[in-house]
Amino acid sequence: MAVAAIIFAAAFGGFIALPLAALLVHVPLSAVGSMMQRQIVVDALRLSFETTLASAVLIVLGGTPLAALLARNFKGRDALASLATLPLVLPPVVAGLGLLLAFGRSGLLGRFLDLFGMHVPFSTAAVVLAQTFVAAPLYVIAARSAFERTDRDQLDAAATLRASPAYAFWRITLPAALPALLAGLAMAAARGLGEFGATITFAGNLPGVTQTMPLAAYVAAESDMDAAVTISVVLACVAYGALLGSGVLANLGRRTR
Amino acid sequence: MIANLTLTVFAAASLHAVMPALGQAYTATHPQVTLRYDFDGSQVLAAQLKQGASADVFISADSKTMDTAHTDGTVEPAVVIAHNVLVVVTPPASPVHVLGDLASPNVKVALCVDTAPCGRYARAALKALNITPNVATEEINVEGVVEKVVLNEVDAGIVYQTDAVSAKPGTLNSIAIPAEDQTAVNYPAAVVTASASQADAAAFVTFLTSPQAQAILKTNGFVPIH
Repeated sequence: MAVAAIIFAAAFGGFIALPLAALLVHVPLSAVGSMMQRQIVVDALRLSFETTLASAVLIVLGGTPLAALLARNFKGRDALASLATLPLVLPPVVAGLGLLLAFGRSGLLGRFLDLFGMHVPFSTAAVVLAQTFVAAPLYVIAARSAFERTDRDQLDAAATLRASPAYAFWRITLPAALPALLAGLAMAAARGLGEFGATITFAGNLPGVTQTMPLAAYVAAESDMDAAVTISVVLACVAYGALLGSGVLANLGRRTR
Repeated sequence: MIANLTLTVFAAASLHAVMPALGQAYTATHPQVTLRYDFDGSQVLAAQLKQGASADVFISADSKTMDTAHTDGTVEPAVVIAHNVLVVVTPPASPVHVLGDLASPNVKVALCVDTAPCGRYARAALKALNITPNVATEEINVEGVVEKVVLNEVDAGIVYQTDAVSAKPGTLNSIAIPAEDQTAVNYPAAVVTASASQADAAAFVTFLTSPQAQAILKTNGFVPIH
């Protein structure tokens, strides 16, 4: 490798690492413990944990069948696949406005939900929907690619032995894809945990109800920098852990084939 | 030929509707100046300035945020350029008709976050009125509150009179809050200490207190300083 390339690579790596180092330097690790007991941090941690868990469940329940469908050949598949991936590249605030105009009480669907007394915006459910909307594509992409790699020969053999397609999916496709699914889920959960723009637009900002960790960090940055940085450090560490775990799982998935 | 000059104005979100008109009036007589704006909650802008954001003029929606910025050494001494008044705004179909309706637990209210001037003013007024509302969301700046009310996602919000004036007709109703229940809303303006264009920034701040600027502020629902 040319020396110049190594220098550029090192400089770019430093560019990524420096802001993270700055966060770590700002709050001494010994102080993180006491900061973690601040009400704003406690509330945000609990809420982020619960909503990320809930959105992960929704993403698996809805994303797995969608990915299995996209792994098959049919007319309009690319259009559907692009639609399913769109939230990944959409500005989150656009996603939030769309969710508000869809599920808000004057919204397309929201006005009917309102008749049944269901109010989605500014609720914890809205946080979960925002996270699901924004993060699901990461799981769907990983799951679809895993399903597409399913061994055709095994499926054909199963069909010869009169196994139903559903049985073959549960016994062959799913076990083989499992590490890749978990890797995608880890990525999606990390993205959901970090969700900000769609959440603040659609779910608002209320401590304990819709103020997740990224929102708490944003609000605290104006008045309580130490709390903001503590939350940021936790978010960065969890995201890094999720990426590391995802990488390990993805490798595992390739090796078992 | 005077060199072209760009002044960056960090202004409280509630000044969003009036600033372009003020800027046009100023550049009409100062054609060499181009004005650039950044609108957000005063506390957001103050935090950005403290972190070294580059701006020439800072206009806050309260004296507290401005005083803190001055104590920090971020801005020069400020002058008040306008006042404002708090009002309750409601979407057309809201169940809120009088101030007392805000106390109903079924009424969703949007406020600014309590670090923002609009949030502090609103909480002080609610305390004076002895009303504890069902707060649905705490927005970062006053424009966020207006947006949630205009979209009919909340039943009421506490904003400035100027927001009700600048809203599209028919989208908002407003309910007055008695003067004795609210604190004076001040807009102090100051030159940013780190600005490289101190004299020009000061000239713009002085213009904001001129009869011409005050007339524009008044037309837009602000309370003039004289």
